[in-house]
Amino acid sequence: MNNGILTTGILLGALLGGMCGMAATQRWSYDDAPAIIGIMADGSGGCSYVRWETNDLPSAVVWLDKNGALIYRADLTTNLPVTIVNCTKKQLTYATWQDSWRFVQVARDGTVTPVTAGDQTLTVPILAQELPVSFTTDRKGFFGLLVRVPSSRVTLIRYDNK
Amino acid sequence: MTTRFTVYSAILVIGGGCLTARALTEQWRYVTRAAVQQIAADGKGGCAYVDKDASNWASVVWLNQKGAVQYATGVLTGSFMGAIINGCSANQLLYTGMIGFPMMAQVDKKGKALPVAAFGGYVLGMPLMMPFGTSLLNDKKGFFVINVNTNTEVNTVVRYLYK
Repeated sequence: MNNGILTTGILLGALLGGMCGMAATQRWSYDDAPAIIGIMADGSGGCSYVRWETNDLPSAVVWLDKNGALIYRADLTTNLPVTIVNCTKKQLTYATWQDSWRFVQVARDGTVTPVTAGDQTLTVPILAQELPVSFTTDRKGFFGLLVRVPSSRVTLIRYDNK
Repeated sequence: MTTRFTVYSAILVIGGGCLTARALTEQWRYVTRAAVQQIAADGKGGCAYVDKDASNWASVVWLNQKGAVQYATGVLTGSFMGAIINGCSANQLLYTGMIGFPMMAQVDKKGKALPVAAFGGYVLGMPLMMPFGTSLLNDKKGFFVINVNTNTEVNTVVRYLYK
């Protein structure tokens, strides 16, 4: 019964698209990408993610603030693995594979600083290389992905919990 | 003789006391419908989990800090991707399930479920091409494990306190 109610609600919700007074409130949206992976909430309403292109085109790292405004975007030269390590409202750290893993830290003003460890090699846990996980919630809301029909292109949406 | 007995007794008492102080305490347990795929602690002693049966049909269950059911989807039939918990706190549960088509749902602490929707398509809580839900097994006061009966393969979510 509960399942039936939910199914009906979902169908109505999908059809009406947010016009029926749902608890979560859409705050902003961003992008129209072939795919979005590795969403990392910054804990303050913003996030970063990897914009994944198809057909061997390069991917990009995108960092948005709590209003959905672009703070930083790095268009990469390859579609090789990208892993977002950490994202806060003050900095973004991510790693890309270019012969070896290269880590960079990005300040809020867009300044990019390589992260090094002397003569040591930094790397990313193997599972995170292949299957970057997403952290999509924070105290006030969460991120969802709108998969457009019929194009299947993807838009990132910020929702407040209520 | 009396001195030796006293020393041994003291060692036993101290040793036993330490063991007791450090031991875990089982707080509650909940027998699940099928094999547990993901557990997400809510940070306050409760958790939500996803199970999946032999037919690949999933269900999502949200347990409160006493191990009582706060919300349950029932069996999500026809689900090729199962279900994934996207977030769980004491106040709300977010999950993505396949209920006819993929859809994200938001559940409040009263167990009321609402779809997360937007114009132009359907909303997911994670990338479709990487539908993997990570588990969060611990909180400030304890953690969750899955107890599997090796004879019956029945899964049980068990809540332990650190002490």
